[in-house]
Amino acid sequence: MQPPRPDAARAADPLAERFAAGAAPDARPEFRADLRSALLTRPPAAGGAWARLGARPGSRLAFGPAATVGLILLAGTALAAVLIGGAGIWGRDSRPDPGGISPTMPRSAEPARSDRPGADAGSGRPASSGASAGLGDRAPGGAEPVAPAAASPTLPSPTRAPVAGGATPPVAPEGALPQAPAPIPALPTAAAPPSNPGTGERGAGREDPEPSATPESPSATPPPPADTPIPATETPAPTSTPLQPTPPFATVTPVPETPTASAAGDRR
Amino acid sequence: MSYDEDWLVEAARTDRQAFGMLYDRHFDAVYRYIARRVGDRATAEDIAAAVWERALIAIERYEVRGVPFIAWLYRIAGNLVSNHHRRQRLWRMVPFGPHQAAPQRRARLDDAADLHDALAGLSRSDQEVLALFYEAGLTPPEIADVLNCTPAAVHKRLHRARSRLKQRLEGESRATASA
Repeated sequence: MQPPRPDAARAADPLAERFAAGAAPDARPEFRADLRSALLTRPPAAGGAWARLGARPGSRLAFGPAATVGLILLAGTALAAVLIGGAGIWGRDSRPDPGGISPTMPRSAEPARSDRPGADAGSGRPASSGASAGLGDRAPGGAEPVAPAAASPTLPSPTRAPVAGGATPPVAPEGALPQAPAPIPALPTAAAPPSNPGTGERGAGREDPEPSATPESPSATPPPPADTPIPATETPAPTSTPLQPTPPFATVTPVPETPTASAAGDRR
Repeated sequence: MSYDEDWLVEAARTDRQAFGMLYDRHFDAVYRYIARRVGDRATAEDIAAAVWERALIAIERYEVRGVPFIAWLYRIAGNLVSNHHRRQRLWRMVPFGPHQAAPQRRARLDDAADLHDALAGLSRSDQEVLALFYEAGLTPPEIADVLNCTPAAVHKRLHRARSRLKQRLEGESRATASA
């Protein structure tokens, strides 16, 4: 037993006397002896690394803090993987359609769109100049087949096949086109006047006063080079009048020979 | 902290006999401190056993910083006593809990009943600092190390606790005289 150390201030304190008088009794000797023997004979902390990590020896929980943290991290990783995977699967279906063709659209509708009468006879390609790719579902004429072909490589190629002269329109399910939604009136006029002669609804393309708009489309770019060199080569004398070469050019009309029927479609 | 105790502490890290010598040297002081604060012999014995068990486990991490070894023991005891009081507060919320019969089972630890009652009326903080100062005989800097505060704060807490204890003791003596 270690008595309280003497202190001058404490000795002069009346409370110290009362504490000394009313000090708590000592512990029972048997308790003190039992505890001492238990402490001295206590086995060292068992458990090895787990005990060093904090697991109490004799604890029912065999894991230490490190193992617990590891389990929590593992469970969190697994949960995150499941959530990310689920979001990827679900997001694929709910993703907005960038090119006007949604993957969820039935395949049967795509050929119908490309085979509509407006796409035939080669006139569709020049008309595609103003067709917006985002509105490919109702692009006038044969414009939108460009976008679907880029959007879905599995689309059937007949959309490009009819370009050859326009004389062989693919067998189009006629019922598909009339059922297509009506085009927004503002967009076809603003973006590109359709030049589809096949469909009467979109006949504005024929009235297009500027076929020059067609070169903007990637499909219509070949015709202008085809037109321009011809006057340069076939009319060696542009000296007379600049307007003269055009009639012979129009009469010569290599249009059937040119593989690109867009020119013919424009002239038509 | 004497050189002898420094040597004992260093030896107690690996030698159980040295730890036994520390136990013999400080057991009574620690027990009285605990008993003063909990007021129950059985609880005091339980907490004392827990204090020494923790000390045996944690003595490998003990750092000699010029503070008496017993101050470290008082810190362990203070934490365990605080945990005990916290559990007691929780049990008081439970109707018909084990605390209902505690006053009847409680055995008085000392003959100075008035001092015990006066201390029981003080807050835990006041009881702690008074027990460390009067019961354990620690100096304010040592108490500051136990309570993890500054010596100035210990002086302030000690002064307040002392004045409150005096008021209670005077009030009890007047009540006894009037009775």
